[in-house]
Amino acid sequence: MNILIMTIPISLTLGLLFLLFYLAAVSDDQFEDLETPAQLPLSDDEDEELDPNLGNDFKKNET
Amino acid sequence: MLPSNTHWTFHAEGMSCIKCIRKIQSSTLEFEGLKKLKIDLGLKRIQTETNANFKPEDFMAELKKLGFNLKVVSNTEKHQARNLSQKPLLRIGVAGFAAGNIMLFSVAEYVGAGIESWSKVFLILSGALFLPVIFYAAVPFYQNAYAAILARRMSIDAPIVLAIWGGALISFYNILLGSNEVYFDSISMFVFLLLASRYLVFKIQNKYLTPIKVEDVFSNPWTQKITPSGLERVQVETLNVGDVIEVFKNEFVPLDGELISKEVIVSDAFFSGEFLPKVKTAQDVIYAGSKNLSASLVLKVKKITSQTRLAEIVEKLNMSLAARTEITTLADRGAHYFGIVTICLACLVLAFFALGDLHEGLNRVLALLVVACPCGLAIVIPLIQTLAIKQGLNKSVLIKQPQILENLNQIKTIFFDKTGTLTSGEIQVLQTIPRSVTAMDKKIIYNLERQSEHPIAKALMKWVGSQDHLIIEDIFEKLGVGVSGYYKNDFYELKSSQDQLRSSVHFMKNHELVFSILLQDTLAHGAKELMAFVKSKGIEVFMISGDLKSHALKVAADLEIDAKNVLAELSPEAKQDFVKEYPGPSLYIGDGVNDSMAMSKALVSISMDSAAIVAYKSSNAHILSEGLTAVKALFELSELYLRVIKITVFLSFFYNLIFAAFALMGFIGPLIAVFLMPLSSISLTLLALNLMRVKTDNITHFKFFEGSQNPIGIGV
Repeated sequence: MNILIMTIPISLTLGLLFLLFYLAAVSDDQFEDLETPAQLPLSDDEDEELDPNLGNDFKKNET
Repeated sequence: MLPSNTHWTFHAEGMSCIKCIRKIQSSTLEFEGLKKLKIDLGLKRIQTETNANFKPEDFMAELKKLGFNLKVVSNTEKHQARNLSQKPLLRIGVAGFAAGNIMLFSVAEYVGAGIESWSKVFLILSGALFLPVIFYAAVPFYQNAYAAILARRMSIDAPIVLAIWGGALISFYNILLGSNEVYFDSISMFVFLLLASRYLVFKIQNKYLTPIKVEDVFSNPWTQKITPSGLERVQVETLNVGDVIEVFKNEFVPLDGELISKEVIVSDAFFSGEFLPKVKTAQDVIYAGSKNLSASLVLKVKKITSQTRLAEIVEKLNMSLAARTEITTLADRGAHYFGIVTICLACLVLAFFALGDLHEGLNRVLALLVVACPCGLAIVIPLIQTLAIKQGLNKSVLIKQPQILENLNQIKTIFFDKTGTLTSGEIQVLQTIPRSVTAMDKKIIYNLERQSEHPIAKALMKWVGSQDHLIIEDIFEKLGVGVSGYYKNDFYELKSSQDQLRSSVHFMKNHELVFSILLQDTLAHGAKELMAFVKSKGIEVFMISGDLKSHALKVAADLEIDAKNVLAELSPEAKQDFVKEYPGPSLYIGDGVNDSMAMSKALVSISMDSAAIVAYKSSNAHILSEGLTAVKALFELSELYLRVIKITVFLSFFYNLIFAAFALMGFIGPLIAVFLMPLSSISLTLLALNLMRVKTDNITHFKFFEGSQNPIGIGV
């Protein structure tokens, strides 16, 4: 049972470490926006960026 | 606005899809002083990292060109929003960490690994891990319970606090006495699950609940100011009393003012509910929110944004929304009585043991408080609400406050707005009298009305369909009267007229009436079915409109609404007063700015898909599809919801009653309690999931329209 002297502190340290990682991620606003990153890969054609007329068409695309 | 500020945050209305991101990114690549750009579609927020050369005004102007209206988000605003969404996440994290690690020790203890010497260490470690749960993670429950007690109502949070502290005290007390009966694991797990489920519901609700601003009504904060040097495009908020502005065709009038143009046609449909446009002549007062249908409208500003009639309505609305009492739910009322019973029982037991074994009495009372907490209920109710919201979306209803599903079952009266709710706001040709129309007539009507933008002209064009072009000479359109012109030496006129019952257009040839075309406002899709459904439920129906009495009566007759239940020509305030004074729980269905105040007075309010943003924001539910079909679906969903809630509440209290009885008799130790508490939660969750089963497809994105201008998409 003496192994517990080692494993308990290890498990607690690991747990705390993950908690700290999580807290840091929250304060870094990583959970603020769960929508945009999910949609980003779905946007296709990169050429759109090069289309100079897009600005005028924009409202149409919206509807 | 300090130049050294390196972070600017903007709110971008109208930013709704992934294309917007690409557009903004690509067009601001070279922007001066801009180092980093982060776009959040959910919050419609653009965050920037910039250096001193960055000019926010130019940045806003640049994005304006792309069709986005930016507003600078102040740091305090940002801070508040962050606090609201981050604090719960931090608490959830801490509770989860504590619960997980305490569980490690308890499991070891239960399966017998706790050899005497280690058992103590386990207990002390779990106790230490438990401290952040009661002193940090569970704080929101204390706050809620305290607020509820101050407001003299009972919420489900009070028994939760009792359970948390009851459990904590009994555990620490037992440690002191050298016993190892502790509840740290179950309580911390309970706190974690509760926090998590509430956060989910908060996230969903928060998306749709924001205060109303006058700017919400207009998608376009820009207008044209007439200056000595010509037209200048300016922001509405920079205008002063006395400025002269020009409003283009189909734009909304941004401020109250006096008309300078000789004659214009404006539509108040959006504002007052009158479906036919009105003719205004010079010096008439035009209110903000009217839509200009003539080629151009020149106006002298009389009142700035914060003082317009519209602003007045919005302000009154915010006041009455703030005063709206919080809906107490069945679960809250259940918890209220259950809480009282539990406390009474606890006192009795304590009194019974007071003279004998006080320690044993205290032990049993605390055990009772822990087991009797309706924990399963506290977790399952938010779950059922989330499922109901999802199912509503499937049926094209956005439920902003799930509690209203309970209230819908009590509704005794429904108030319907007319234009845009019972009717689609579109004009339709009913019939012609005394004779039917010939092919030649159609051609002439088509060619006379071809150039006109008047809604009646458009309705006629749709009715006659596409026709050959004829040469009509001297076409003359007189606003509010009609059009005339010569074809092959015959003088033709289309003259609009309104009598008591209906509006019509007279087709005249050489000043003689040939036939009249009768017009009507089209009924909304599903209106008749809804009326039949509502009547079968024994609900009284009122029509409450800002439009002319004659129009209202005509629609009421079509829908078989009792003429004495038709109220017309009402101002927004009059609508509100009527709804407020009418006894019994009521439902208001409407779409206009003029409905929003009345909406805030009804027990439940529903806004239509074409609703003005103000109406959308003051309603509890919003219809996403055209017409009234979804309202019926909402009623059916509310019946299902109430049934599921009732079953859950009953079962939960039934479980707790049995457990409480065992606790009082002293049968329940920590091991049994730990298994029993999640068992009831899990079985209730499974039951609720099964009863509220939904298909989750078809839920992607929806859009709603502000008037007929910019669409604003909301992702779900």
